[in-house]
Amino acid sequence: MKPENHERARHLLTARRVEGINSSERAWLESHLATCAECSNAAQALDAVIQSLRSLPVVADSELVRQTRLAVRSRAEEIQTSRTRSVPLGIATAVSSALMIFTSSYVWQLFSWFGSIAGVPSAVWLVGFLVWWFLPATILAAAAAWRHNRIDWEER
Amino acid sequence: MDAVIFYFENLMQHDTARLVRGLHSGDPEILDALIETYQHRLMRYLLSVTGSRPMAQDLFQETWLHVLERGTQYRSQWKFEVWLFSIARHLVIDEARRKKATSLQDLVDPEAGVGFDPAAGGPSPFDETAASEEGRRVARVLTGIPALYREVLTLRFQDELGLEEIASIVKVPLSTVKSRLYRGLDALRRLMEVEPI
Repeated sequence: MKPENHERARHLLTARRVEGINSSERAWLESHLATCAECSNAAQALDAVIQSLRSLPVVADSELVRQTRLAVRSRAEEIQTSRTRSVPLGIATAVSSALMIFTSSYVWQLFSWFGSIAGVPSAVWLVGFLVWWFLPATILAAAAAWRHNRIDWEER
Repeated sequence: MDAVIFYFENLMQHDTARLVRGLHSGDPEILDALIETYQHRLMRYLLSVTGSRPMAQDLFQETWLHVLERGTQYRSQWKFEVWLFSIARHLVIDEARRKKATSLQDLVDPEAGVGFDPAAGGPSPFDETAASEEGRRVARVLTGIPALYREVLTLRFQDELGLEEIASIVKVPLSTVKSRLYRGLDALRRLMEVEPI
């Protein structure tokens, strides 16, 4: 028997386990194994290796699993609490954003009118308008930062 | 027969939808059920990558906390264990970077070393659960092969994952997964031949 036949058989034995082989390769391999004791032994050895690998038990420690469950449950509760606390802030953000968008043109006209009546330079009432524009977002950002710091402090 | 297939497909879709909802909302009951189902498989995977029981135990809990915190990122088309092992693998790499006790290169390059494997002569991290002599022998042999080969061998032959699934966990091309499996099996077979029973 040619040495390359044994090499091909050894390769197909592993390939069969790793990625599968086609029907003609399988037929060739089976006929080779039927006539070659050496390759047949190699096939059995490979099967035994994989079988040993599959039968190796690995068990997670029950105390570790119990502690993990407790930690996950505790963290899940923290996340739920944090989400619940975020709802009013989210609503306030949505309402203030909507108000800013829908009233900005009126407020712009109002600031412009006040500016012309008071005789102040346009840069001044423009700054006033910008302050009004950013004020809700600034308050909400400050509230969010305060809440975040408070949660950190509570966790410590 | 079609009705039975339809029933099971429907059941699986229902379970997947429930899983996605549970993970997105951070439902502790779903997490509890997932820990129950995947505890041993995750531990086996972590042991195979780290080669260290204490490190695997540290990362076990951290992995489940990440599953909870990143639950909203989970997509129904993903197989849960593939996502779980991907998270675990990221944590192992982060740990390697943080500790720097063992080089990350050792983990990513099997030729450079055996990654997190325990010091020679120490007990195998798999030993504790291997009751039989044959089990202990396999455990000893497993710690003797590079971590990257051990990882793919575990995913392929113990977790029965497909090659594409392994490639997506390990983040390497399919051809690399195959070559690691070929080399890993070869290394395992050689060591089994010389390891006394």
